[in-house]
Amino acid sequence: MRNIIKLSVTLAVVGIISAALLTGVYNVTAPIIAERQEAEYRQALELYFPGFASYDSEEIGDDYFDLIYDGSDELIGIMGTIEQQGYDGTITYNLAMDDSGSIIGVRVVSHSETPGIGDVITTEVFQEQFFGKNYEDPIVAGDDVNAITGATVSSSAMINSIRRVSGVVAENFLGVESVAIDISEVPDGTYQGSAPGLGGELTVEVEVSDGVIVSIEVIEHNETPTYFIEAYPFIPEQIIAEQHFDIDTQTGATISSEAIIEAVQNALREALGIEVGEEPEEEPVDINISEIPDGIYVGSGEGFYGPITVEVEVAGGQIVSIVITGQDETPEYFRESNPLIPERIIEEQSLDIDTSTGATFSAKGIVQAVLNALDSESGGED
Amino acid sequence: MKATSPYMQDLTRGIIKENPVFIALLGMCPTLGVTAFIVNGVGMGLAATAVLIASNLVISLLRNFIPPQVRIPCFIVIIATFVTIIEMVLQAFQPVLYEALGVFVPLIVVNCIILGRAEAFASKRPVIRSLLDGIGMGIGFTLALFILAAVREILGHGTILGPDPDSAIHLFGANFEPMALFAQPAGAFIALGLLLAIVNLLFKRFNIN
Repeated sequence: MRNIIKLSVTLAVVGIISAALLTGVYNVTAPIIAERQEAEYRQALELYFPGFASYDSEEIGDDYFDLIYDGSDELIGIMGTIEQQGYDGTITYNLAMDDSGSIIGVRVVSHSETPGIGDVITTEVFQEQFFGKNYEDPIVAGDDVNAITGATVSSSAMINSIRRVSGVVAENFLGVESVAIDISEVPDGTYQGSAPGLGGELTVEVEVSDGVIVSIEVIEHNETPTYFIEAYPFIPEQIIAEQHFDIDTQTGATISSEAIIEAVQNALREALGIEVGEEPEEEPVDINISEIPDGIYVGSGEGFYGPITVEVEVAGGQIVSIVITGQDETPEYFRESNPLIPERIIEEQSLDIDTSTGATFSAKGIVQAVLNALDSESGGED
Repeated sequence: MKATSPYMQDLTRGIIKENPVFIALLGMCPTLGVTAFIVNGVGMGLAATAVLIASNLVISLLRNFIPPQVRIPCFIVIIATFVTIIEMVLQAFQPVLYEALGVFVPLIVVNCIILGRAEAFASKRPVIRSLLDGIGMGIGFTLALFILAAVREILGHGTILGPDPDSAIHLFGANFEPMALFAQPAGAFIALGLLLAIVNLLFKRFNIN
């Protein structure tokens, strides 16, 4: 008995002395470290924003942003300080964007990724590929930026985080129209959406009924199974329970979790007719159908899974038939747009029609294809 | 060999005869991990030396106070304390080196040279001898890292005093194409293997043992 007490006391004393010592050293070094980091941050600001005179700080969610002003109080850029879960611990980085939202600098402040593998995120080669990109770019691994082979988790975490942050900045500081999703506005139906996960595209099917998400199913993914079970069905259950997207993704599979959330959001955005992705929607050029000579015209438009091709027959200044000659859409969705959309176009004799069906992407693709067919005729050489 | 005092033996033992890297093959993780540049290798060597000296000293002082049943946890707490102190000091005063050494600084805690010397030497010997042993082993470790880093930096980068471009000296001119393999982890193993062979050869030749 006395022995146990002696052992415990010894360990406790050693622990207490060591804690006291560490506290002392910490108190001396912490202000120096903080001061140095502050100085480095200022230096980075001066590098990215040469005219920089002052800044305002703002906190949005878990991210910190400094709005950078020049001498005459004009906004010249935004510097974000972001914490992102990497492969091993938290990656803290700065993202510098100019006043149009284009990325001009990436700076990793601290990380504990594997030396020689995950630390590629600190290299210029990796960071440079983001320069010039903004919220209108996809910023998707394998599309306009590359993940690093062998360090997929670390580099994908950065890519996905930068994509998210550039959207946050655009919405909050650059007056880009908010793409907030009001679930109660979503018409009843089943919608599909995709987002890049760790292993590629992840697709979900979301069912909405009476303005409430009632089910979320991942119908296609390429995630590592052992990690994926941490995110699914846990994340969908959370979204359904809370009916919003601001949920905790700190599972064992952060990237897959975030991909599921983004895919669900994309599905609902599509349902609400909020444009997903890069190109700002072009105003449909309303062409003057009555001037088009009689004949059969072919054209193509972009559907959800690839091109949709159509054959349009014009007679007496009227569209008399629209035949879909090729498409790769999901059959049960495409059924919602075809023949409904061709019928609407023929009925209205206009391309400015309501495309909100259960398959908005396909519907828009058809309209685009018809426009393409007729436009090349009336517009000439295009 | 001429007779030397035990103090002298304690000091010199770690440098050549029982060199922790070349002879005992301890602490391979930082040895291979941070020796792409001389500055980093020597920095790691000195950081580990500081921890080694401090832990040998404290463990020797406490050797009659710590009951044998809980000695290992006590050693580890003591070593971890010094490593954390070194880590904070480096971060405050040597940020460039701190960045370069990265995760290897906290890993000094599990460097088996330090725990090895604590268990095999300092916990059984008086303070002065433990101190000398810590200094000797530290010098030996630093020396080994220096030699390995010198081979790797010269062959793998063609420089000395890199990677900082302000201090780096290009030994073979700017057009030299270095053997990038030696800058990689695989090159660390190859260079270490070659050095071990040379050390063994020299030991045989001069009959040290």
